[in-house]
Amino acid sequence: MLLPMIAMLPFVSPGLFAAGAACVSIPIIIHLLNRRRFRQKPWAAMQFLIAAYRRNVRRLKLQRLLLLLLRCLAILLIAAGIAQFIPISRGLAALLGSGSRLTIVVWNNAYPMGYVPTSGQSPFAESRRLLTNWSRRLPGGEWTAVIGASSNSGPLLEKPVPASPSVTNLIARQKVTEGSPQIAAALMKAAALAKAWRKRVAHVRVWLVSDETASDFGCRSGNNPLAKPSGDLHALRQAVKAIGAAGARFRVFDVGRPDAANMAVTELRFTRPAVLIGHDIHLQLKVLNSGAQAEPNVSVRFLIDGVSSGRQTIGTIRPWSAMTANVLLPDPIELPGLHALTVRLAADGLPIDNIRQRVFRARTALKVLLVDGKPGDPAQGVLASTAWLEAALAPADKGNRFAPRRIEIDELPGADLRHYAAVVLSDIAPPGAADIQRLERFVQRGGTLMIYPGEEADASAWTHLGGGLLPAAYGARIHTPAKTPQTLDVTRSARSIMAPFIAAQRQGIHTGIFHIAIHQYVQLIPRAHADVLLKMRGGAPLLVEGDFGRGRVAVWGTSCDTRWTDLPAQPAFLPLIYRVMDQVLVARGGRHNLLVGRKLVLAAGHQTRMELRGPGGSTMELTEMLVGAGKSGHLQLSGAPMDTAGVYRTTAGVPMAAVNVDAAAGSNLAHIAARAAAECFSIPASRIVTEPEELRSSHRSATGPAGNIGWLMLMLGLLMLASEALAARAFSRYRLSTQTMGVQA
Amino acid sequence: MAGDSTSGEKIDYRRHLDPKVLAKIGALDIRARLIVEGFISGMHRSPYKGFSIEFAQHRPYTSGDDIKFIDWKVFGRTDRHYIKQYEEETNLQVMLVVDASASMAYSGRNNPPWRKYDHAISIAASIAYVALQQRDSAGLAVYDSRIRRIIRPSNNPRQWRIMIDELSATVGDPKTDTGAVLDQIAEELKHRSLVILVSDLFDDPERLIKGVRHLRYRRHDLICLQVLDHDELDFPFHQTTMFKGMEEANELVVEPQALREAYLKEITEHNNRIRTACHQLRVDCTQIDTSVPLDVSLPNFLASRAARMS
Repeated sequence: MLLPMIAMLPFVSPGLFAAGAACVSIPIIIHLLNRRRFRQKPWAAMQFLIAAYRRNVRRLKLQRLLLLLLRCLAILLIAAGIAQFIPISRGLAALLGSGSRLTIVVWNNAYPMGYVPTSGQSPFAESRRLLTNWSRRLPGGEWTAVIGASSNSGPLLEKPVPASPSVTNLIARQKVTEGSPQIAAALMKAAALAKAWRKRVAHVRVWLVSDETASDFGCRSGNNPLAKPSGDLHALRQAVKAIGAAGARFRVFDVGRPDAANMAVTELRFTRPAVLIGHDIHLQLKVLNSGAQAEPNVSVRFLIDGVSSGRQTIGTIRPWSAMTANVLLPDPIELPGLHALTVRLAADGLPIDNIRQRVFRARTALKVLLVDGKPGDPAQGVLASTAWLEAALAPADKGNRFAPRRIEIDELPGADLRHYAAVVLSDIAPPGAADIQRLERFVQRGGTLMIYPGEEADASAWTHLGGGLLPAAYGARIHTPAKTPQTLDVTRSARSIMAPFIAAQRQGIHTGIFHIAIHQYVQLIPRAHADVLLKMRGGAPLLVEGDFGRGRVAVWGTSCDTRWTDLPAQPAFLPLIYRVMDQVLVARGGRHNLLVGRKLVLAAGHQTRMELRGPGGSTMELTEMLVGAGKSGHLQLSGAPMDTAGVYRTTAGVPMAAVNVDAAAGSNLAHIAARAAAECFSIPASRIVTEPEELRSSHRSATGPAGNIGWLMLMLGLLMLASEALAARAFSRYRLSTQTMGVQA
Repeated sequence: MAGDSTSGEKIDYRRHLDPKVLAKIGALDIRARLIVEGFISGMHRSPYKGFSIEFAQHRPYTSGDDIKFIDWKVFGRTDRHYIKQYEEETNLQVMLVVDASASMAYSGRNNPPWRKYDHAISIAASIAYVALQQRDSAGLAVYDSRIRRIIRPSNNPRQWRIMIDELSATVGDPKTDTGAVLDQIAEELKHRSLVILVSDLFDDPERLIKGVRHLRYRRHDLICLQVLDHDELDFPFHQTTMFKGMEEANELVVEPQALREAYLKEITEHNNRIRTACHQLRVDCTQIDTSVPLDVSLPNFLASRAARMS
């Protein structure tokens, strides 16, 4: 109760003042004790003493009171001086002869600041040295706030405090984080702080201490943030504008290295929806070269579960550009379960982004549920509508990538959808509301729903399902003339699907992709944000895909069998289906891979807690928590945000999470020159100090008022003590050498 | 209590007769102005008619004696200077009036247990001794609120011892009434006398002056020796002190330094008032600081008095 009240006192060291204020009781106690403690003296000349006392009793009392007051005031002033009084109002500060000042330091403590050049120290170490020296020289009472400009900064000094050794110590203790730079957000925080403190202090200034790299301005590649203005640049300008509107002066201290060069793996993903046991592992990775020199023959090393899986050269990367490379790992995975893949470049000045890791689950095959609206009649040789698809997905007895299971519509309510990666509805009318809800939940949790039309399907009923499940609305059913059927427009379809067909065609291999005849189709009207993967001649969509929750829904415009099209009979059918499945199936394991600063969330399962061991022997505990309420409520394991990049494993060694720095957002270390940076911030170039020797501001040098007041009060206190001594002497007028009454003999 | 002493205790007479003090006093003329006038008038007119002015004896000439009293005949025979003394010189009556009230029992910080009363009786004894040695009559009155004991003036050789006994045995009353005592002394003394009042004069000044005036009216000569402790003159106290009245049952807690100036002003005003009145009544009045040795203060006083008389 008392401590918070003391903490609210307007002093640099409120505790010290409280202790000093308590000392005020000392002269009072002494005064009271003196009234009780006296010696006794028989006195002959009592009549004169009493007469003197009667004549001076009021004066004596007044003098006593005045002396007591002076003593108390002296102690109080000295205590206030030592504790460094801070005028909390601007008026009081002005009255005391000086305006107070708040310096908000926006300190880029993101991982790129840890870049260590071949000579010298990192920008972060340099900025820490500058800030420490600056803080040490600050006069007492000058307000300071420090805001970290990293996605994983954590609170530094986001509430302004008066300058003190503890502030200096706090700055000196800071370490670079593994978060990505978030300059605009930090500047916006500074602007809000400046606005809030505008009336409390006379001057507010905002200093950005950063390495001024392209990443700070939102560049993913290149070295000119103005070449392709991004949302980050716009946000930066808005923040600087807000700082100006708050009456604060903005200044940039550039601690970056113009010669910084950095290589980083900014992206790593599997090109197929799942890693299957015994199958090749297809990877796609993106490598950034943020140096001024081209990097020839960039070599990448791969490791699975810490064991080398080979090294591949991806080519030469031009200066200030990124290269995307598709890689096929030669060694397939042999065991199902979770594994960790590590991609590593040669080490450079910023080694943290030379490594990228990913945790994935290896499966035997992807299960696909085929729901058939027209089961067919084997006795009469009538194939089910999904028969062609089933054959395509599982062409061999074993070693298939997919494990299809075919059911009829009546069996759908009893099927456990959680076991399947995809559900294919072929030629069926919309199921009941309960099944629709189950399907929606299935897709929201990461499943893929694929719908084929047919004779049984009521297009209008599907269209009116609502809820945004379908990425496209059904239109009219079109019958094309037998002689001029509709065909697939290979060139206008998604290149990610068509690329191998085009390549095969160029090599003279007949795939039939250009000769697919579509006799009937349903018009598809794509919704906003939906992707048209396949198009027919004239641009009519044949396959539209859209996200729903964490999953995807794909809608075909023609049938799954040969009733409306001869696609299943073409050689291209199987590879086309595989390409489409790779495209629409959602890669699982996303929750195991996250960026620094994010929380790891895993399904609870049977465990109520889980202990993970991270890089450098660090440990992390995940505990069970309930998410959501009612029927949608479910248990999850979650812990604190991950602040260190690396692979986190269970105590049994099973990789559970791969945490990476956001290299795409932070690893472009191309240094932005002062003029260009000034243009980006929309400020004069003079406000940008490059290679600062120390942090100074051209702004009016305002001596910290609290510092002055502290000294002033200290001096006043000492003056009070001297006054008390003089007053006590004057009141007593005691002169030992004076003989008031001469002795005559 | 002033003057208290154990009855069975052997009285140290020499305590009051410091030979050094007495030697210095013996070298000076302490005879009062009126007696001197009488002696001179013996040559012209005597104020004491009926008393013998016959030659009594010779005594050696001492520095300060008037050379006109040198017996030149004796000088012619013996080649030494002798002064002729007459009977008239023995008619000086010295009445020592000593204050024995409670306030005289104060002993200062510097010289405990030397009380003001000790100082006063030393003075009285010294003067009485010298007077008796010169064959003057000496008497004593010890008082507080009234005269406790009076010894009429006499030049009997045992007179001095009687006076010393009385001074040593006197027990004082807390109160003082010097004025009334002086009135009483004035009435008691039949002959013109030299009255020497030894007191701190902590009394009502009006009553005191009235008593002095009465004495002077009776043509008695008066010397006031105000005996004060150095503490009373300087008030050199620092700590908070409860002062307890020695004559009155009152007490006062004060910070001495804060009240010092006012106190000194009060006591100075009191003393000045008495002094002024004494001066107007041609009474010698002086302060004697108990911290100053008697062999300094008393001869100084007598020398200055002799100078004034001459």
